Amino acid sequence: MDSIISGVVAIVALLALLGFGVPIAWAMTAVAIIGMWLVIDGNFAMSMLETLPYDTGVNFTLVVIPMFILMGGFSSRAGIIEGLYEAVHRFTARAKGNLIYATIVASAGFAAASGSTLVSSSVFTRIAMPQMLKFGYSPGISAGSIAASGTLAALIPPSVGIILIASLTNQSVGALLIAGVLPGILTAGAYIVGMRLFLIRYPQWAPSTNESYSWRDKFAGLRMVWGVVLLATLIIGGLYSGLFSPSAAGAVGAAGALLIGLGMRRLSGNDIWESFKEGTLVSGRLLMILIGGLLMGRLLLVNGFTDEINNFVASMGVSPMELMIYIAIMFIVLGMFVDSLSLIVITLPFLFPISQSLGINEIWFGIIILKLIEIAAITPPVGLNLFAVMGAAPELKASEMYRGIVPFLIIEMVVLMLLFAFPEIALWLPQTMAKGT
Amino acid sequence: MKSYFEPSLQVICALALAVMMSVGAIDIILGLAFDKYLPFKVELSGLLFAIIIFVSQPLVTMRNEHVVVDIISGKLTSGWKLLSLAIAKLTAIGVLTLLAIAAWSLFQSSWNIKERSSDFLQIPIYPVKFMIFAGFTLAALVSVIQLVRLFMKSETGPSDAEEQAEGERTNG
Repeated sequence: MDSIISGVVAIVALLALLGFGVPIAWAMTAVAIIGMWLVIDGNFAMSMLETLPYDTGVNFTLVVIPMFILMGGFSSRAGIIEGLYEAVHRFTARAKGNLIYATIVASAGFAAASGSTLVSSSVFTRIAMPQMLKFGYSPGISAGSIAASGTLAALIPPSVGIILIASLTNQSVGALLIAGVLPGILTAGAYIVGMRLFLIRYPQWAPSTNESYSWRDKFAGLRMVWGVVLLATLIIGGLYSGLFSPSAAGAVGAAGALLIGLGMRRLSGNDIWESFKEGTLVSGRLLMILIGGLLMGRLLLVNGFTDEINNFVASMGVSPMELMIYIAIMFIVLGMFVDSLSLIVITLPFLFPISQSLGINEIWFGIIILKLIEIAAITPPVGLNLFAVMGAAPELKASEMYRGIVPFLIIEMVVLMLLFAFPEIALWLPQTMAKGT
Repeated sequence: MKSYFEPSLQVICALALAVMMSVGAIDIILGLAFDKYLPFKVELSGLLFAIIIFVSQPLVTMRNEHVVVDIISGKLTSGWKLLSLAIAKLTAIGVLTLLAIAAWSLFQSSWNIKERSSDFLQIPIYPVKFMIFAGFTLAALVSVIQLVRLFMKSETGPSDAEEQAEGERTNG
């Protein structure tokens, strides 16, 4: 059978199984195995099932995934991040919209202590939303700022999405993690500057809280942020300096979050048990999705689809920028319906080889994909972060949420354009980081 | 049986995770403080990681926590929902059975040569490969039980099938 046709049949079969509600991991594995059976033979398919799951399971590079999940579990259960929110709030208390800025900065801090955008959105809905509403903030803008800030966890290390992209595209996990730092900080900065500008035009969105804190109170607030600062320094600093491999950074981060939580007397035995349970269950389901994605990628490779599609794209004369624009449209549309990690695993096996055939930088490609997924997660009607916020704030109307997210989507588009125009934003840190990670 | 089965698997996975975290952290502390690294970190962490992933499969399956894209299946009527759930379960059973067969073959090869890790600790690898086989087999059995329950419940009314469908929809 023609390679392109067999590849398309495999992708259509995958989509059909997904449509029927078959879990992504099993749908991809089933299509990959049947495809290999038909294209090569049963022995090849079974040998793939013998070797690939085990090789993935004992891959030391991937040990970082449960470690980062564990670290996120300890951090969120210990409330390590709440101090950062309070400290920023105290320092910016006189500024209009200060609770929005506090949410953005604290979410960036949370991103450095956890890798989950959904957890971030849920946590800040609980912490920041009641305060914003108390001071007369627009419910939509309040919810929008929380949902948008939650997406920072996808870019700022530790990000599980980045590790999955690195695994599926055979890149250095450490370099890709570090590549997410500046785009993450840029996004947080753009949210703050952008909202400052919006608030000049629409001051009613976020009235002044009229609170003031003495310098003594402000510096007292700083004492509450040491946990986050320590974790962020350990992980990002350790990776950048080449002191740690990503897996070691994960272990140190998880152990650090546990010790900080215990030191602050905010972690009970049950919290620790629940964090371990969460770490194993989330790792179990993520790694099976990754194994399914790797098997699917192997099928598309052995049936010649990857080569054929690369030749096809080359013959169409598509420029790298055009390809990225098509991918951007596809991700923003699909990302509204499919969660980010699944989208990465389903699409990268065939999109990444195409991007490489057009000479697109692999690190920049990975960061753009994450950025697109972030945008999709806050795009109405079904962006997943919007649901996380609405789930945690049942009194919030969907129409308010959708209106409130629009300013952040505009800011996201500006950031995306900056990343397209200046790839160095993503590439500079990996180029200057110490080798060996 | 469930009251022993679930906590036992959870304890195995949690212990593996705790040891993995401790080994990684101690290795870095020893390295930074005394320039001595644990020579068995990579081999031990890799094997523990495999245990976590594969032994947790029955738990993930039991809790219906595998990620599902429910764009279409979430909007189906009761009858179609039952069909989609049955297809999902049958696919899971098929895939898990094939994975279990492959894992058994992997274990047999390892058992025949009493395979050990080639690094510092020389850890026996065949027990880990047996755990992988056990993980997939138990997950397949859990899926079979879920399928049987699905049809037994569907006879009592469509609402039960809908209840199970709700459990499926974790979506990340």
